[in-house]
Amino acid sequence: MANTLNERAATQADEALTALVTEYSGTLYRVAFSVLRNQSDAEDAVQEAFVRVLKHRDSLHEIRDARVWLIRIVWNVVLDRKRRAKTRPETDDVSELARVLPMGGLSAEERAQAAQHHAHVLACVEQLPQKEREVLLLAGFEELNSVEIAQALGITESSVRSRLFRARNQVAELLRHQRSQR
Amino acid sequence: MNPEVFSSSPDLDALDATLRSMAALRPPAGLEARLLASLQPERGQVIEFPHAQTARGNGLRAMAAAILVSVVLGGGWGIVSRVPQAAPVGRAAPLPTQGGFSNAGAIRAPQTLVGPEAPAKPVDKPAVPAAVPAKPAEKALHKLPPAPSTR
Repeated sequence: MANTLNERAATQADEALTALVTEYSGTLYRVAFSVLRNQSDAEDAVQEAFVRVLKHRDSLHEIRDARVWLIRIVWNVVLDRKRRAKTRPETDDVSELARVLPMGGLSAEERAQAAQHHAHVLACVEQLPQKEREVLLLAGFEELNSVEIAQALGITESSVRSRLFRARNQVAELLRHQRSQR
Repeated sequence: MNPEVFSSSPDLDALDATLRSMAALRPPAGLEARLLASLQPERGQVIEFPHAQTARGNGLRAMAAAILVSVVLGGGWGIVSRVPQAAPVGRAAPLPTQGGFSNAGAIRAPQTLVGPEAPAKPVDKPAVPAAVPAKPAEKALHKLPPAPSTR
């Protein structure tokens, strides 16, 4: 009798975990890539995030907002990885972005230019303080509003707004400065 | 892009375009399947453990444990029996007090008040005296010479 109950609970938890992977793996991958800028690293980070989720498999039904909870987990994972990893050169970003970013309808030369442009913008984002950078990257995802960003980062909504305002102004200033130097 | 966007400028437009591209990134093909496959060993361990809580399984485990214990104990006894046992070193019993004096908690009080007794020396038997030359008679110190005769 006890074995039947245990098996049933395990099956339900297994199904819940499968549902989370199916529904949110893409979102988590995009969040991870926005920080790590590398396809394999981002996939590893998502896998590590779900391994951490596995430890809570018996309490998955208690999670109110699974999407924000998962984003918070993968965000911590990518920050840990980024702290351990060396600084990536911008040239690596260019080649990776040219390979993975959706640039349908562009020629090869246009793709390369677009990738270079995006890598240059991201390099300016990297110069921001960590708090502003985190908010700016998460704000790029339409599926997250300021309340959910606040929950994912463990800060208040007003902090999200103020950091986002500062981040955007700082990046604009950096891009303007570099454009004036060319 | 998040609708909470602030003032617009060419630079901010460039920023927004980059962030939109990142947000629209498609995950690599087969990501979901690879994730589920990589989680399978961990999920299997959790699902299948404890493996079989049957009576037969419990009996087998108990028997194996008993065999293991007997082997360990038997081997240990064999080792212990071969090793010469040293004198037990322990705490000596406190000596009883004597003569109204306390031993001040001494464990061992050497006997210093009563000295060691020397064994009795063996008594020598008197030896047989050897032949002793006669001593010359002692001169009478006051012995008078014999008187001369008178006719």
